Amino acid sequence: MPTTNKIAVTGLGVVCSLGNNIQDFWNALLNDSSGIKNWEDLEHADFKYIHASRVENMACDPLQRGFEFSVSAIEQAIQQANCSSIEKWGLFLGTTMGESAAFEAMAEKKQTLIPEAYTGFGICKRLMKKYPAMHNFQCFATACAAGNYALKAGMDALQKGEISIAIVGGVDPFSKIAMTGFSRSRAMSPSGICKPFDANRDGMILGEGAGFLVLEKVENATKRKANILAVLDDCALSCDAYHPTAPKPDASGIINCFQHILESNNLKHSEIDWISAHGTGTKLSDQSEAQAITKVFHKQQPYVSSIKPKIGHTLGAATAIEAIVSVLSIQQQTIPHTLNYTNAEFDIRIPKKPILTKVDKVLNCGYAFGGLNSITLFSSWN
Amino acid sequence: MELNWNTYQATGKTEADLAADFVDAIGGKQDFEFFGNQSAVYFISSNSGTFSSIAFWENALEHSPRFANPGIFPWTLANATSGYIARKFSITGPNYTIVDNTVDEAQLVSSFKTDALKYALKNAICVHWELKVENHQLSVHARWCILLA
Repeated sequence: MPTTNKIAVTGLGVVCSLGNNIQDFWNALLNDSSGIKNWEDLEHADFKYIHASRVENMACDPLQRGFEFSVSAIEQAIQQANCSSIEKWGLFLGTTMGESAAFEAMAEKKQTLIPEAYTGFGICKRLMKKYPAMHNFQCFATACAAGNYALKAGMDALQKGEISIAIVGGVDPFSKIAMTGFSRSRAMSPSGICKPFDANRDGMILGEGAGFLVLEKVENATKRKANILAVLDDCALSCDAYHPTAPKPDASGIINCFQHILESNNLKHSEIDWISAHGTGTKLSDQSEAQAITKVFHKQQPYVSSIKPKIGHTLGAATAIEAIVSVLSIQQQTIPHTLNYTNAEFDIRIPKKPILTKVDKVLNCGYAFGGLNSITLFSSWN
Repeated sequence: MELNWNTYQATGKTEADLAADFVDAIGGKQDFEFFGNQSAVYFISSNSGTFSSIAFWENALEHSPRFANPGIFPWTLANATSGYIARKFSITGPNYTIVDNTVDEAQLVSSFKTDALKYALKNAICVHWELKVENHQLSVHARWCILLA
């Protein structure tokens, strides 16, 4: 691809249980702490599982928690990118549940609300009002892969010249609906310890948060002397078309994504340094993901790790926050570890401690209910 | 590229019912076929999943979160219907659920053309899906069309 069409990442912003700024988040990611804990309000409300990863130090209107998380993350990202509001911005958002608390309030008959005002559409409308530089938006409700969908849409819009700055991210505030649903789907961890890829893994932990990135063409970033943190090269999408909630047993949809992204970018297996895995900690999802990695990479496996034991599964924000971690791993030449990983079940390389090493190319993976598979590719710049 | 929309309206008890009825109705038409990885789904809705979200939480409040009906949960996700369409037509290419109350046709065609090049798509199904509660019944007002590469 000619340099003129390459997409630079020039700003990052995050809100999650580990921190509301990039430095605190990254530092916490590399130690052995976790944002997961027990919650009394869930116990009092008769939830079966009461472990979750929630943001504690932000006072929010409960019905606009997703919007307020988004604003906090966007402010960080645009400050780092130092992008001008004279430029033509586009907003690209991924979310699973939107403002879930609003739907809970409607069910509780506490308030009469218009449902669509609290989906991702409503969050985008409010963000467009707050940031007049945003000329248009696209919102994707593609469940736990939504952040990667937003990244792809932002990249496409920049390459077509529709906008000059893409504000791209994902958000999901804590959802009692999701907490109940994953519990009733037997996806939640009874132990309260998320152990992706471990032989003794017993499920996922729900999280909440937002992650946003500023994207622009490399030539735009260079012209305005912005600091290029990494390059977003590509995104591959597929659908299992197999089951509403379970991954396809042969992992063929994930394998298609890996192969598509490697072939389209003329990459050898050995050129991938790290896979930022979906790694939820559930039996089936981790098995499917590990199987795909083993089949695609054979003996030339990159490191594979999941940050979900640290911040839980943040649903629509997950692949956006993990995209931020992908960029940071390139910036810091450090691969985060998979907390709680002790017993191997699969033949994949999972670091138990952070690894200082060359990180040039990272694959950021997100899979979702509905059979969605998504992988983005990030590379170092120069 | 001109989009030749078909219209569809139905009522049902749940979003799951509406999705099943829709696929049955359009599946009866024999003038199109899909091609696995070379077909895509573009599903646009401002409120897909919201009525199931409310229904699921009502159910959890009635029976306790421990005993809420797990069958409702997948339908709380806005992409449940697009996933259902993909399964019924074995469409394994890109599957989008776009949250909007209108269809930007130029944007839709532009996205399809980009994906058609990238994934060698032959066609895609586009569905605009808006739910309403009318006379205490859930109804859908939908439009759909087939995009050809």
